Amino acid sequence: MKKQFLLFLRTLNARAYVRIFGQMREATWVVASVLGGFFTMATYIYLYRTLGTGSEFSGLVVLGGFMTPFFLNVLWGVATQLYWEKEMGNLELMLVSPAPLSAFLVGLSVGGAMHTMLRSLAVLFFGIAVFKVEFTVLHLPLALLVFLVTLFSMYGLGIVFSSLFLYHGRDAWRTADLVMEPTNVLSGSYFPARFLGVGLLGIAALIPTTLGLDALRQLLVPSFTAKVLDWRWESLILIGLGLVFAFIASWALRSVEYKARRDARLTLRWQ
Amino acid sequence: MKGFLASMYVGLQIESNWTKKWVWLLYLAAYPIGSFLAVIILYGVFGQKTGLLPYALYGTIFYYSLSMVFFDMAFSVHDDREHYQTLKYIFLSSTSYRTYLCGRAATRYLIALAGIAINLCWLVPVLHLPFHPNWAYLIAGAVLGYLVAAGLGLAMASVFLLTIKLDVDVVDALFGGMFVLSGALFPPTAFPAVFARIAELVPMSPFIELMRRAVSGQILTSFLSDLSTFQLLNRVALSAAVLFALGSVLVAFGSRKAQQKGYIDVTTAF
Amino acid sequence: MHTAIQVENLTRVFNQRGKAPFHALRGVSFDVSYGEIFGLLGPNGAGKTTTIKIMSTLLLPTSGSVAVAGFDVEKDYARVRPLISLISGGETSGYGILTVEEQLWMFSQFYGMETPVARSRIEEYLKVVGMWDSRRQQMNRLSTGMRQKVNLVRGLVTDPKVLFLDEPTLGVDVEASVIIRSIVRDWVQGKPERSVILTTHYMAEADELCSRVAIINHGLILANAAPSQLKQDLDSRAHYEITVDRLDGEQLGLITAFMGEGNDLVLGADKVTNSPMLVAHLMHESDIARLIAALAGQGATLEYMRKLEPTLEDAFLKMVGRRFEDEEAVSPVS
Ligand SMILES: Nc1ncnc2c1ncn2[C@@H]1O[C@H](COP(=O)(O)OP(=O)(O)OP(=O)(O)O)[C@@H](O)[C@H]1O
Ligand SMILES: [Mg+2]
Repeated sequence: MKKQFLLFLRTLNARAYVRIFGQMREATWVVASVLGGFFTMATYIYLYRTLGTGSEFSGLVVLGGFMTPFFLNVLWGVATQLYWEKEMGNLELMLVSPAPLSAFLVGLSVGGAMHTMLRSLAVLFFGIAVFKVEFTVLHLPLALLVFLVTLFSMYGLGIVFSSLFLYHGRDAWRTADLVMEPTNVLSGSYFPARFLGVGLLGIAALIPTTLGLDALRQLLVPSFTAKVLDWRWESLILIGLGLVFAFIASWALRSVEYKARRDARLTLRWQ
Repeated sequence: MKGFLASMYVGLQIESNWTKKWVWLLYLAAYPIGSFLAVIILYGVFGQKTGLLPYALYGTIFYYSLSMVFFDMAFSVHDDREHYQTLKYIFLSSTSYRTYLCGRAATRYLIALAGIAINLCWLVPVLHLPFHPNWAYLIAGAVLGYLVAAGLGLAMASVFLLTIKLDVDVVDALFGGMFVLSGALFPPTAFPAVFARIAELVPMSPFIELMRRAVSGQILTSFLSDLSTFQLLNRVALSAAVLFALGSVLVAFGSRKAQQKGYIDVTTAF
Repeated sequence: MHTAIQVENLTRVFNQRGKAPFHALRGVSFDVSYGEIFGLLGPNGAGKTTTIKIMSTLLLPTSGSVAVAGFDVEKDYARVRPLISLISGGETSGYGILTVEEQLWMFSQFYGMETPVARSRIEEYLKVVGMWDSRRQQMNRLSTGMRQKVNLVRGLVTDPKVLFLDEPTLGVDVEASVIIRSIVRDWVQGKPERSVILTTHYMAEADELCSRVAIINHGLILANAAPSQLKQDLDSRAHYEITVDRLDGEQLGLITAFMGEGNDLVLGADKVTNSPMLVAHLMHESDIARLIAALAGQGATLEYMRKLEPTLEDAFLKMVGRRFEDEEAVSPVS
């Protein structure tokens, strides 16, 4: 048991290390993050000025801009990773090793989240320093906690997706490409999720950023009133979602590994 | 020309061979929705009184059509080199790399335009968009727009050929910047004066405005309104000529240099 | 003590959309003891890689069973994995942007090794393969041979009990191949509970390394024996190639009659000099003296002579070729 746990941690650590330091070597990602952060923020700010929605919206969208990169990282970085590993011929070696697939994915998530953080921080920085959006610093520790809970839940979802991607290859890839932007819109990156109406909200709430963003907005933007639920409830739901995702993920990974071994799809490339 | 058509065919294969024909057609129609869904909600709900929905909607979908071209070109290098590892074979073939990229991207562009056309069929009546197309301008604009985007895409591709350390997100960031500045989403008159001027100079701006006018039959905002539609067309033609020539030179240079540096078949995944 | 590998009646069918099911393995059985290097030989598409994948838990058998170090690869795969390593020729695994050292460390972590232990083993094996000086090189800057040496190190660092080598010297030059082979040989002898399963298309490689080889074709094992045994089974007679200055058909008839039953003589021409060349298959090695005397008696002068050693390749070609004919005559199985 202890040995298994250590194995999990070592694998996690190694995969995260590779993700983080591999990225460091391509120094241009810093440029990409900073530039990207700036343009995202500028888009939001001027868009809302044009819309004439008033300044309280700006605070909301800065947070939306902060969360979007994580959303993208989950979909592109984590969900597709096993598929990429397969395409590169690494999946075989990952499977032959005693480490569980989940350890690779959690490691990748940790690494990916750290890397994404720069872009998200750039958004925050430009939002606060250049575009003068105001936040209450009062609830910062709580907000951090809610943020971590959201990440947990988000990356759990990403790992669920990764098994789907592995098994369905390009179909899943195309599907993700198709639904990415619409789901990002639904999750309330551009406007408070409450405006979606109950029906859509029900669906959108399955995407952890929806409630996570709503909770963060409650904690950090004083003028925000269009909340969906109280942030405490939202955090609880997020934890619940995260646990459910983790459970599904561990089951799905095992089942997909079994199916792939049975149907010989683990090592079939370029399908 | 033969190489170009062959590359277009390759592009079509890559785009469509992953699924059944009817699924693909649905996909083709559904794909552009992601590009304008936010616009409809934002301008249809929060910014109703601005009356800018047609401006932003047409702007976004035509920006989207160009983005398909330059993303395809920029990422082809990466994809062919790292994923399919076929870049070296393309270089060995008799088709020039520029032709190959242009062919593939042309397919993407046509697919995007088809998707847009399908969506306009319901967007126009449902959202009461102004729709009085001037076909001559539309077609001329579409062709020139392709050349503008291809020029930028080729330039980007040459950068990818010459570096193996460039994060693909850089492209995202750059084109994200051009998206804001081109006034696709909102009139750049919202910017401080300096940026508003820069916005007029972004190569995509006149194209998008030209297409807006060609589709709607109206001048929707004051952005670039001092130019007649014909003047806009000239501007687009000029930037098409300049950018495409520049892109061609760069990609030819990039190909040669990449061969010298041995960057044709490296992989960098991490 | 259990054997390293036990394969019993293994079959594997691949189902592909819109195609008839393909029987890649059709009842394969063999076992491998510790201390052995076991070779799997066969033409392209014979089922070697399929067998390796099943043994290394990447693929499930359709029927039959495989036990690695006593554990079933289907049910107990989690116990098998810590005990094995897989190295395939031509593989470009890993992450191009990592250095050799980082890449190896990363893989060692996937086996739960403590970092200091991993580091010292990596150093040890990198020195053995002569790649220690390249440890800071990025993976994507390595040549095929260098990469394959790194792959070998990756396989050895985790100290497996069973090492699967699928065409390990594919695309590797002669010198590097020699190094890889000698390391594999030394490695097996390094500890009692170690064994290697090797597939290769280089017969000399199999002959040199393997204590036993199985020849496989169309998913069936045609032979399973020591290379020396296979060569001997091929034709136990002694074979000679003799070039003389002149010899005609009539003289050959006389000599053949003189040599007696069971000794065959075939007359041809030397490819270079075009002199008459005799290939002799003799029951006893000592009969060569009689043959030479008989040739001299016919007035033929010896120009050149050499003994022909049967190669594993001969055995392989004969076996695979024969089987092929049999099959076409019997039935198109599958
Ligand atoms: N995933 C798969 N789906 C369908 N057929 C497969 C699959 N994998 C292998 N095969 C088929 O099974 C047969 C055996 O393949 P295998 O890879 O085991 O051959 P091999 O002996 O390793 O050949 P080589 O010497 O070329 O490596 C081949 O005919 C191959 O086409
Ligand atoms: Mg093989």
